Amino acid sequence: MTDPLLKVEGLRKSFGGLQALKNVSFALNSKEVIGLIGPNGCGKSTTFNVISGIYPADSGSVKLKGEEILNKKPHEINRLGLSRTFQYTQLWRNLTVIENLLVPPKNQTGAQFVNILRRLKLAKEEEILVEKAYRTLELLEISHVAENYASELSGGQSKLVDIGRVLMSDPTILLLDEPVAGVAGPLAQKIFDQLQKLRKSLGLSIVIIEHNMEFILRKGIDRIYVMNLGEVIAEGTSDEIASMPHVIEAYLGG
Amino acid sequence: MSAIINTLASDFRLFIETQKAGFHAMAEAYKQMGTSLKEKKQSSNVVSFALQVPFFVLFSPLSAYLKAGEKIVIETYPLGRKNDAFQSRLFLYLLMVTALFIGLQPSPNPTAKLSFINEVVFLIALFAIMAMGLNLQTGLTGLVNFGVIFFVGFGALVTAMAMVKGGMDPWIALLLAVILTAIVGYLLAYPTLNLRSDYFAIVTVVLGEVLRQLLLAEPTFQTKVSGSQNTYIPELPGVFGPFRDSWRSVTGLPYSTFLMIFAVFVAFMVVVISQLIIRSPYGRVLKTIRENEVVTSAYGYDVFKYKAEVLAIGGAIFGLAGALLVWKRQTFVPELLLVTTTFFVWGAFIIGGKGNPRGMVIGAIIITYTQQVVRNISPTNRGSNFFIATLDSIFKFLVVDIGGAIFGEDSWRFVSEFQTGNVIIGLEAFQILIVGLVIILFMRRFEEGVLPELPYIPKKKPNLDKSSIWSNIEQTETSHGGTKE
Ligand SMILES: Nc1ncnc2c1ncn2[C@@H]1O[C@H](COP(=O)(O)OP(=O)(O)OP(=O)(O)O)[C@@H](O)[C@H]1O
Ligand SMILES: [Mg+2]
Repeated sequence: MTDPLLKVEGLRKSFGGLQALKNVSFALNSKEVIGLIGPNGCGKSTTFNVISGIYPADSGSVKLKGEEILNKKPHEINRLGLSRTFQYTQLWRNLTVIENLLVPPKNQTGAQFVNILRRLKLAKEEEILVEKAYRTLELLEISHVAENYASELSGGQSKLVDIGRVLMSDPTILLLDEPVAGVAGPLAQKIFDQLQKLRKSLGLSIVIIEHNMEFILRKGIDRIYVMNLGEVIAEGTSDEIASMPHVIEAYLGG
Repeated sequence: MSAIINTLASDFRLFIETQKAGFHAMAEAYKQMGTSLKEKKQSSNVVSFALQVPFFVLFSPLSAYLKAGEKIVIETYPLGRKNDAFQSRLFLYLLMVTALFIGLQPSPNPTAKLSFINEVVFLIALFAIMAMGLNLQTGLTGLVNFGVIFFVGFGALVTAMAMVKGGMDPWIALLLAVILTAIVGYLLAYPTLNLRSDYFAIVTVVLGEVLRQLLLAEPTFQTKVSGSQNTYIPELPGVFGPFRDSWRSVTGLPYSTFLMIFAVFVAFMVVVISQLIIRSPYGRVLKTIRENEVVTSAYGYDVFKYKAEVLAIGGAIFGLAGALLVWKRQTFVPELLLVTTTFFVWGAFIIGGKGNPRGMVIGAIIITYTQQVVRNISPTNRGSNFFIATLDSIFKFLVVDIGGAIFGEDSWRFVSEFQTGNVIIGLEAFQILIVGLVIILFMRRFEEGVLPELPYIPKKKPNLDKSSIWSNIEQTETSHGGTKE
């Protein structure tokens, strides 16, 4: 095998006296979907925050296609093709839903001040993006709220818009922090299936944090990493994980 | 042409209907007041009720009227004032009403009237320009700037120095002010933008005051004639001469009329530029920074760069305002850098509707007019009409006798003339209080401003074939926004 797409090694991060990440290592290969699980407060979200540059790390290494990205700025990391969602959905609240989806696409001409006079070009670009945004909303079954303010949405709807937003950014790597928490069962299933399809058609590689074992242990997740107290304590396929005694003790229960 | 007539006719119908509905709502309100009157009398709480009545009489019908009007408007234009079509018309009508007000302002003679118009319209334009600078920084991007007067003052300083000390052409001086203020705004990003947003706000407050104190201490930077009592130079030496003379001889109008027209033109241009920004993806990124900048950066936008740019763009607009101020006042003294100016600009910004350039114009009109009204409360002793004479003597009693007793010598600050029985009362001492009250009143009625920020709704909605959504998205995604098929 070639180098993994994303390689995280020996990540450490503490908040004051609290060591949130002690030693986190994992690898994500191209077109893989991997799961990150573990009890509350074990450091899953912190891992995402460090990888995406929101928090600086104390030490360790994160390599994206062989390039060290640890402690790069969030926007630089995003431009390399890594997009993430936040556990607590943070939409741009006083923007409409459709507008929330129009920001993530990269390399927009109109996003530079010098180009604001190029009306024709901007209108053309916008038309393409608007269509794509509507399609994404249809996919997530929320196109009827496209023109509402994001602040008017229910919790589950917000989660869906968040997923739509991250899909609009054309990522190669997707970090999803509990993407379907609060989304109704059947739709959550569909979204999980859809992510599988997208991985094939777009060549996406995905890391998912998820507490719902039904989703995580289903086929389609290539590997699962189990975290506890800031460390990765196990790695394997869903069947392997489900039968490891120390995983059962730390997370899966009885 | 017929389209215009149709639009006007339909607006007129709407107007009549709002009137009807408003009266209806008012009647309802009065009926309710009647019943509550009876009920309240049974309970013994007469005193508190008596206190409530005047407020009820004053405000309840008014707000009922406005509510009824709004309901009808919303039925006609979904989203009401947040509908672009309705908002642009409302804006035009408000401008027309303003023109009417200014036109009908009584004045002793045409010359006085012209100079009143020159002054008021210029101030409205100036405040609109400043409010639009603030709107880009605070309304759009969320950078709370309490230092409007710092930027404006800096622009004014540059203009005055370039003209007086540098002997430059006023147009070059204006350009220089715009560029240098923009640069100052950009550079300011470096020490301040890593601060938390509330600290950034505090820094901006301090800057204005620091500049003023520095200038007060350093006479080199003052263009007033040293040693003279008069702080106003009659005209900035030489530079305006030729242009002003030819303006006068060609148009037969005073020079301040030119300034007024020019300021209105500049304000118009700033509205256009603001709209261009707000409606572009660039402005959209700015709005996301206001809403949640961490997420914005997680989506690949360099938040620092955008904020610094906005400080520069806003700075350029403030610099322009500063230059206009110097052109108008024909002098530059540190006393021009009033903190209250920042306060008034904020007032216009809040009343107008943050995030909306047209709103800034409306806000500027309301604030300027309030200031103007406060400055010249009409004189008392206006005639023998019994009603007016009674009002006048009550007014005089309150202001001269009571006010004099309370404020002592200070009462002369707002009672400026007391000969031949005429009292001219200028409430300048209460200016901030009154403008503040106006702001509160408007905030209560129009939470998001008179002309609120418009939500983005795409003009053209795509036709999606619903049956094959799930397969369509993959195709669209693979071809990266390509064709439907
Ligand atoms: N910004 C922060 N400041 C201080 N402590 C933090 C911060 N973020 C996370 N922590 C701490 O780090 C630890 C790991 O938190 P994290 O959010 O990564 O947990 P998690 O695995 O995502 O849990 P959950 O499943 O509940 O979302 C927790 O003890 C938390 O209190
Ligand atoms: Mg978490």
